[in-house]
Order: sequence, then structure tokens, then C-alpha cells
Amino acid sequence: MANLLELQNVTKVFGGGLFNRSNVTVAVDDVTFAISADRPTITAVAGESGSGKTTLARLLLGVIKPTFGSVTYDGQDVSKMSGSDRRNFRREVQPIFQDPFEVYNPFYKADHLLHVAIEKFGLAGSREERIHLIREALETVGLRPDEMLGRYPHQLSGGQRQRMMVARALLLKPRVILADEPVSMVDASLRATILESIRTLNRDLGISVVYVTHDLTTAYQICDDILVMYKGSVVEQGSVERVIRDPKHPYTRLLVESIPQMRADSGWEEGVDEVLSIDESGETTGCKFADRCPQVMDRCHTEHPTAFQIDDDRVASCYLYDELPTANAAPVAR
Amino acid sequence: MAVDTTINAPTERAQSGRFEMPTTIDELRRSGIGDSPLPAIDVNDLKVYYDSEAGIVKAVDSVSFTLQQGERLALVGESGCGKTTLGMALMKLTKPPGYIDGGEILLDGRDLVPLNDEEMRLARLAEIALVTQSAMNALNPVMRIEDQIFDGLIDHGIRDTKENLRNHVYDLLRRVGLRENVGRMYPHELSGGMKQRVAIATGTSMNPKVIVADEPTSALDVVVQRQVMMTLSRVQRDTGAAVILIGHDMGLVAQFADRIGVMYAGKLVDIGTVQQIIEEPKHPYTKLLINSVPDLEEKRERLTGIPGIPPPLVDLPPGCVFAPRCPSVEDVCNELEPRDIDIGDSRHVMCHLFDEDVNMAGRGVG
Repeated sequence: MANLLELQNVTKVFGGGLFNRSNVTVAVDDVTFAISADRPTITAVAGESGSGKTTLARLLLGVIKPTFGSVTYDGQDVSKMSGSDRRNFRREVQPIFQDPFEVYNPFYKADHLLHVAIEKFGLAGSREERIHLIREALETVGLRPDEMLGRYPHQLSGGQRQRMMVARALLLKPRVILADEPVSMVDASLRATILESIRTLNRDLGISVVYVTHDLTTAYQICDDILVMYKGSVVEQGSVERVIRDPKHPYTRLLVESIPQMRADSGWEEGVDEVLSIDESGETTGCKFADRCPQVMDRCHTEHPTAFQIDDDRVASCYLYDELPTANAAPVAR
Repeated sequence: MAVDTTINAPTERAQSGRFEMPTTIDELRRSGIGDSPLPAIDVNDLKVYYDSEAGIVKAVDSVSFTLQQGERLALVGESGCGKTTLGMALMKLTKPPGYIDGGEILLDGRDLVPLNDEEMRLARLAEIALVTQSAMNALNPVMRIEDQIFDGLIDHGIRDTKENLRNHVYDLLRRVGLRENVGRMYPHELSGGMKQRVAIATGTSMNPKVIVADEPTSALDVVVQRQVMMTLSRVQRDTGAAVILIGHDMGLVAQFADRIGVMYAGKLVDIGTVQQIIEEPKHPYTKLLINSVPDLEEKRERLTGIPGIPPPLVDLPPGCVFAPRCPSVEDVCNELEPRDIDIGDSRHVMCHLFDEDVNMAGRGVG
């Protein structure tokens, strides 16, 4: 079983430096997970702001280097790649960013971005071929090429712009798409359409997707697997069905309970304020969630829990489950 | 220090307003919500237009609704549907080139539209308060939290000892679940959720009858979002104020509101209780909106959005504004503008399907 993209014990520390040990932020703390090369999957990286999910995405893209551990693509260390390997990696792992406004240069027509991608990677021999590729990609994501081509970014809606970004990623025939909050800035009514086009890439074109999000509902709808992050650590990971429907880690439970569900018959219970109150304390040697955890035990404050195997396809890092065997490998790489 | 009981110059203008204003903390505490038989807010045929080079933008077009005392109404819709413009118009904070072109905003029976700037300034906070989307940026970074809350009280003619003022602020902070010492802090010392709660405390510092909350949690994480919404919920119950929650998250509004108003292209197309809107949506747009919301109940084979995009507000289609995107569209929809139909149970729908005077083949279908 080969892994396409893999993180091994990756830690990323920001700030600090040789003479300054005080002001360090551990954005990603000892994260291990992998995307299988055998079967295209959609994996969610979920967490609140500050949980390190975007840093994780940037590590996967090779934009930043891990402080400890390694990121490998097709068996090669991403930070040590050179020349053609790196170029290949850059084509096969494509990002889709959060803000569909910022990625466009307002002085160029929107499709400029598609032309550049084709040119840089020499995907088309002639102008006709290039136009053909662009039209094909736009149609795949459900856009009408005639309505899109030749228009400026400000003439397109947020949803159209974001789908054009999906089309750009698609043009390069990637093996992995890394989407960092791709729908958080578009309207709810358009979210479904964009997520559906991402799912199409996975189902029909066999592209693996890493979906970074704070929205567990959409993660549940489109993903196979999920990693739930809290302050840089993965607290629970496994099949999305299990993690969301039956969360085991107290933090995942809190997250799932906090999702406002569109139902008329259930209101939020009052009086859970105490449990939720957040105390932003500094460093801890124990579990990072200990000071907010309703089921906290003494050892949680001093020891950092390892991952325990809850069931076949899910692990959680919490001492509530310490009678279960320790997980030896991350289960996401199925 | 801004608080000084000897300053009493603005008291005069406080009393010249059309609303009776409390002048001490004690009066303020007793001012609460009386048992007025009138609706908290009654909006009739409100129009908010913008002049632009391309023509008149009808951002809010003939919107009417009634909000009872202590009721919670949510306004939902896609971005650009006019929900924030409507919220701002209720506060009379519409900025040029926008203007209120007509209609009434009856707050506890008194119309806000004809009030002059000074009268309106006094009515804000005291009668109708705003909790904005970006409470993060609403706080002055170089003033302590308590001083910022004092400012609003003093500006609205409250004259009292510093001790009384401070105790009032502490009560407000406790009510939103913050410790008293937050009053002595500066905004940068607070987290996003705490700032949003300070905004709620400030907004309710003068026991307003109506609170307009414009996407109060859109910048917050889900866990904090729940906290803030429950805070707002508790404050609403304690003060008896009516709340207009502007939002786009159907799940969130379903958890909070009593009634939901659905806006589309500047019009209020559907209004009913949470249960009515979610369980039996009537307007075709509401149906699509409800269907586009992903849930945790079951994994869907296909996620469906709403096809098309809202029309430009300068160039609205003749007839029904939703006709170009509507799955149940018929010829008449492109010609005749739908009326506001009362379909019983205080439910209103703006669609020909429910208008008995209009001949629609698709009636009763779907």
C-alpha cells in the first residue's frame, strides 16, 4: 500500500529563534497522516481558527518546511525535491484557496489565470488546443465557457470565481487537490454547487482531495475521512461517518454539538456556558484540551495522551480510552 | 475621565427627543420593557433605494413586517438580498447615496422615519440598538471597556455617580457571562467571542425595545458562536427586547429565532414561524434555500445549490424577481408582480402560486 502524500511526525514551530525561546507558537504538533495512492479519497482537516489546519495545508503544499518530521510525496521528501521533481509536484498537487477575490489580478481578464497555468506547464501546443482545454475544464465544473471567457474578475460572482479556480486546478490534471476553506467566503446557496464540483473531480477523475474546513457539516457531506485538530494536534481521526456521527474525543463532541442544525424541534440547551468557557492559557505538558474538557482527569494536566485505537477505522487521543490499544499507524491511509 | 456628574449640558437635548429618556441609572433600570400592547416594531412598505449611475437600485423594496414585543425574527437570504440594508434602515443608518424612499418604521407606535438626526441619535441605543457583524472593530482600542459603555450612557443623558454607572456596567457584563474585571480591560486583551459579548452588553446597556443583530457571529468559530448566541438569547429573555437577527446560516437562525423572514432581491418573499419555514416551505425560493443546506442527518448523494444568480438590483426583471431562477415559473410570473399573500397563521408569501386571483397551472403541485 503506497502513500501518495504523507506527513510523518510533522511539527511546525513559528517565532522564537536562537536567542528568544519565549515567543514560540507550535502551529502543528506531531501530526502524522497520509493519503493513499490506491484509491482517490476526500479527507477533511477540520478545526477552529488557530487549530493549525491552514499551516498543515501549507506544509502539504510544500510552501513551508516542517521544523521536525517530513512531508513526502510519492516517497520523496517535498522539502528536498529539486528541478523536475519539484515541478512535477507543483503540477500534481494543486491548491484552491479560500478567497476567490484575492487570487485574481483585477487588471487581467479572469481567464488569464488559466492561460498562465497552461503556458507554465506547457500543456498545449497551439492556441486552439489551449482554448479547447480551457473550455473543457470550465464545462467540467459547471460553468458556461461563453459566459466566462473574456470577462474581468469583477464581472463574475464569488461562486463563479471560485469554480474557475477549481477549473484551473483541474487543467493541470493533478493527483491531489488541496482546498483550504474553498466555500467559506461564498454564499450558502453556492456552497453546495462548488462542493459538488469538487466531489465530481474526486469521483469521476480520480483526484484525491484534502478539504480544509471549519465546517463539519459540509465535511460530513463530501468527505470519506476526517482529522479533527485542536491547537495544532490531531485529537481524533478516522472515517467521517464514525467521527461525526459518534464522536469519541470530548473536543469533537463539543464541536459536533455546537453545529447549529436546521431543525425546528431542537433548540440549544441553555446552561452549558460553564463547560464552554474558554481560558486561553499558555503552554501545557498535558492534553491541550484539558482546561476546557468536561471529563478532565488528573493525568490529563501532566501527560500528553497518545492516539488510541477506538475501532477499526478511527483513533482518538484521549485518556478516556487508555484501556484500548495504542494506535500504531494513522488509519486515514486506507 | 469622561464620567463626571457635573457635566449636564446635553440633558436638555435628551429631553427634546420624541422618546422619554431616563436620566439616572435608577430610572434606566426601571425603564425596561413595559407591557405595551403595540408591536415592538411595525414596518410598513419600507423602501430603501440607492442612486447609481446605472439607475435606481432598489435595495429594499416595499418590505412590511411586524415584530411583537419580545419576539425573535431572523432575516435570511443570499448576500446582496438587502437584509443588512434593511437592518441599517431600521436604525436609520442608511448612508448616501442610499436613502429611505418611503414607508414607516413604527417603534412601539412611534414612527422613526420622520425623526431628525438628533432625535434619532437619542433613540438609537435607548430604543433600538445594533450589534454588528464586526464587533471586533467596533470597540475603541485605546479605551477601557467600561469607559466605552459609559460613553453611550452619558451621551444619552444619563447623569449619575460613577459608582452607580460602574455597578450598572458590571451588571451588564455579568449578564453576558463576563467577569467584572473585563470592564477594566482594553479590547486587545479580549478574545473575539468576548468582544462580541461586550458588544451585546453595550447594545443592551439602555434596555432597548429592539435589538438588531447583524450576523453577530459570522467571524467566530462554532463553539464560540454557540456561546455568543446563547448569551444573546439569555439577554433577550432577561430584558424582554425584541430581536431582529440578520444572518445567512439557516441552522443558526433555526436555533435562535421564533420566526424567519426570507429576503430575495430586496423583497421579503416569505415569512413564517421557524417550523413553518423549515418543515413546509412555501415560496419556491425558500424551498431551494432549505434544500441547499447540508445537514448531519444523512449523507446526500448530490449536493444541490440554487441555480443561477440573483438579478442585478438596478435592472430587476418585470413580474416576479425570482422568476428567472424559479423551477415553478409560468408565463404570468414574467409579466405580473406577485402580491403579498396572507395564507393564514400570520404567514405571508409573495408568489402567484398562492394568489387565488392569478391563474397558475402549477398550483398545488410540489
